[in-house]
Amino acid sequence: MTPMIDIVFLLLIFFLTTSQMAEMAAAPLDLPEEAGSTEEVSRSAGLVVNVDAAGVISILEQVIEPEDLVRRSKEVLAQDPSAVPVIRADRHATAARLNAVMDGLRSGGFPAVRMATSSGREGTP
Amino acid sequence: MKIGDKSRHGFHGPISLSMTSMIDATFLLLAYFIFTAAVGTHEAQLMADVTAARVGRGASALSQQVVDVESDGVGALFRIGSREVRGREALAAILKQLPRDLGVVIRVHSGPDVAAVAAAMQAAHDAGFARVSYVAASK
Repeated sequence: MTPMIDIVFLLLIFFLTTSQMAEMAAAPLDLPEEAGSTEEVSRSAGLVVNVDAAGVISILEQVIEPEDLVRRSKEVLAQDPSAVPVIRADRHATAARLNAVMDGLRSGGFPAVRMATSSGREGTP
Repeated sequence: MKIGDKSRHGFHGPISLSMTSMIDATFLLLAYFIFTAAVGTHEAQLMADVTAARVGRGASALSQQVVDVESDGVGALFRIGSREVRGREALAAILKQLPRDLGVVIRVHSGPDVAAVAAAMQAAHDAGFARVSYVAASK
């Protein structure tokens, strides 16, 4: 049985690791370097919106327009009314695109958002 | 059946289990959790309410504090009423002197970059504001 157990566990670890890697590799962004908030937010994200340095908005590697965010927000809220979306915006992107994302999420019904920051390094003054 | 007979009348000697697979799995799980924990700690989050752009230009003692995030030729500029500052620490120092009961509104103009917006949100959090609202400035 030993080789079979080895193989089963190796496959389990492989799929766990690759699924995590795939999620991380979805949008490599240079996030704002801020410490963030210390309090834990237990509510689920439901929606993770990426904004790259050029201002391209994407969800799960799918490029979308700000207008589509309203529909996507409503869909997510229908499934989980307590969801608080996460915006992962590149620090070099313009605030105009961030405003567009915020407007889309607000119009879709979200009362609050979470903005992802990079806490690995201390923020710029 | 032969198999049933074997299980009923089979060999009942001391059982020895190979530890190799369990050690393999343990080390792999350890490596997995070390890897994912190290990656996961790099991202933090700043929470903000999103409201419609209906904040007045001025701020009174009975209204929320309003921080305008703008940009000029030099870089990001934070404006609170008539005061203009640059940098997160300077903004946080001013915000610490203001009443925090009603929260603070971060009004974002289209000029600055996302880093400036995050700096303003972080400054509000560092100053002790429990409620931070994000408003896109009307064009």
